[in-house]
Amino acid sequence: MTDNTASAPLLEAKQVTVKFEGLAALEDVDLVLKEHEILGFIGPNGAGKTTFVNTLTGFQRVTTGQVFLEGDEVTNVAAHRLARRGVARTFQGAHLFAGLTVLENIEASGVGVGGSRRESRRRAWQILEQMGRGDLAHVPAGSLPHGEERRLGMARALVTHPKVLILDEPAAGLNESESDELLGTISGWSREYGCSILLIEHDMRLIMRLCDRVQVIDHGKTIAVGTPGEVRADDAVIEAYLGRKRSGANAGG
Amino acid sequence: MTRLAKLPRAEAMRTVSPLLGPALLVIALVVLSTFTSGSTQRAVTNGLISLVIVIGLYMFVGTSGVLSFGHIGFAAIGAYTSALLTIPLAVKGALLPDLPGFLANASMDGTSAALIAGLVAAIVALFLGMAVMRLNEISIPIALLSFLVIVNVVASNWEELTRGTGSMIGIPRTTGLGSALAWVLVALVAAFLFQQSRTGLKLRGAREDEPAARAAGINIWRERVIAFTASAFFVAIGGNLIAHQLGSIAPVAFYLDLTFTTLAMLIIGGKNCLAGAVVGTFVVTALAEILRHAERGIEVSGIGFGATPGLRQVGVALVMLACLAFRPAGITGGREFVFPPRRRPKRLARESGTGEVDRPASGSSLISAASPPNQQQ
Ligand SMILES: Nc1ncnc2c1ncn2[C@@H]1O[C@H](COP(=O)(O)OP(=O)(O)O)[C@@H](O)[C@H]1O
Ligand SMILES: [Mg+2]
Repeated sequence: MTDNTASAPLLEAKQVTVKFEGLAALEDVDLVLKEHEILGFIGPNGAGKTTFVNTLTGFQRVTTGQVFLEGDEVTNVAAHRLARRGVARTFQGAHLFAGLTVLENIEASGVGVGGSRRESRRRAWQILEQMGRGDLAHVPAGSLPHGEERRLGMARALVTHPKVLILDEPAAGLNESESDELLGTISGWSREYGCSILLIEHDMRLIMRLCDRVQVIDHGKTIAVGTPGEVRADDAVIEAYLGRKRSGANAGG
Repeated sequence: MTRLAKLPRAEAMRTVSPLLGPALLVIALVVLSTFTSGSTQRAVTNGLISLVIVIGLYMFVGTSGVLSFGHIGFAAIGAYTSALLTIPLAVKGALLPDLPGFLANASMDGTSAALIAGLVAAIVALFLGMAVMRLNEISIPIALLSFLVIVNVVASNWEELTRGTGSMIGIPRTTGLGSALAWVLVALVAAFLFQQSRTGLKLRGAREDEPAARAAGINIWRERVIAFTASAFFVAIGGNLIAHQLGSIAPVAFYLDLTFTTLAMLIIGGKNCLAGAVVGTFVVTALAEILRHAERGIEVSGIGFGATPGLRQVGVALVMLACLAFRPAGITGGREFVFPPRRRPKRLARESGTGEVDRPASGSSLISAASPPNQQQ
């Protein structure tokens, strides 16, 4: 079931290694993200998740290794080029265009990937209305509360109509009902936009419910890949990750 | 479906008000000044010329958020180019005997010369920008300062073209209140359309957050080069207006003094918005005019205060310091003039009352769509 040869990997990383002044933050990390798949990417703080996302999105050069998008090598390609080729991401921090309005934030992203001014504006409105946030359109993004900031970050990624959507800890700082709402939203998008999602998250409840597969890293190395059920039963994972994050271990059931 | 459909007139008004507000302010001031003395009118004309330069500066500095200490180099290029194209042939032959043929025989009307002056500066900016915009935003202002120094040295030493440090004289004095106002309006419209354009929007995004802009597909280098080129065009037009107002120019007129004054205007007004360029230019021009009178010495109740040279520059510098310390976003706070004003959404109004921005949500959801706020404000 996990070995579906019909769907070629949309995004693939081969033996990605990143060293910061000699210290390896990532060591030979492989990753396969298939079409229409939601892949969870988890690991303790400092495991290298964000660094890995940065290599996939052009924000961090690899020391060695390769990245492929739809079979083309895109290792160390500039971030804006990858965005135009359909790799969208959100950031762990807000990284909003604080001085621009909510609407302009989304529009800027639409024109950024090559959309016209008019088309971007139409799509920005559409996404805002879909999220039930039309009333916030003309508010400066810098004055949004935390939860709305996250939502705007995702709207900005969605307006690019990505093939791959990478979410770096989207539920961080949200309370339970907020992350439940987020869960519904994310699975809705993957269906509606037909994009694959790489989800970095600490909230195991979210991961277990949403993801088709889960990859676990610790100290820059992959320690397990499989279905949520398989990963949860994996000894190395329990030891390295769930053991330390006991609170999330049984959240799924 | 959208609010646009519900209130088409108010919304259309809000869209154009960032242009109409400043434009009407400028027109009103000019109309008022026609009832005043010649010296006041000259001061207003000076202000309008500065405004063309400051709007040009805004197109790069304001939209991209990257400072420039070099834009006055384009004013110099504009002034000298336009001068060379308009000085009457007889005067030019006597003044600059060693000019290359096509310049020695060039003689055109003021508007064509202004446009060519702008284009020459824009072409220089295009190539300079392609190199300089590869640098980071700390290095760019310094690199552009180097450009200003180079322009100044070249203008001071290229005797055949500029008469070096001596003045270039005989420039037709065609700049008046009317022509300065016309160029201000052209620059305002251009800057407004530019900030609304795809490039303008992308740059304003990059100004607020560079990583997010890159993640949104924005090629920051490319957009900065475009803004730099457009910006140089209008700064050069401003330089051209100076040349045709004074009738004679020297390299020193386009150097650090003007660089500081125009930057002060933009920053004091609020560099992130077009309204800031207009308000800042107005305030600094008025202040400088008052201080210029004071420089000559004043007499209060029989006690004379001696002439104080340099009072004008010091005054402007002090206002700039105060502004940076107490109101870093400038007088306008970086917000465009929007009319009719928008109401704050109820969803946010609920929290803003507490004065706390980052209050942790204890139990109650701040963002849940399932529970929209139902109390009427
Ligand atoms: N720019 C950097 N320079 C040096 N070390 C870094 C840099 N970025 C990340 N690291 C280190 O790499 C490791 C992985 O960090 P990160 O990818 O942010 O982890 P995660 O996102 O899984 O919490 C950490 O030990 C961090 O200190
Ligand atoms: Mg991280």
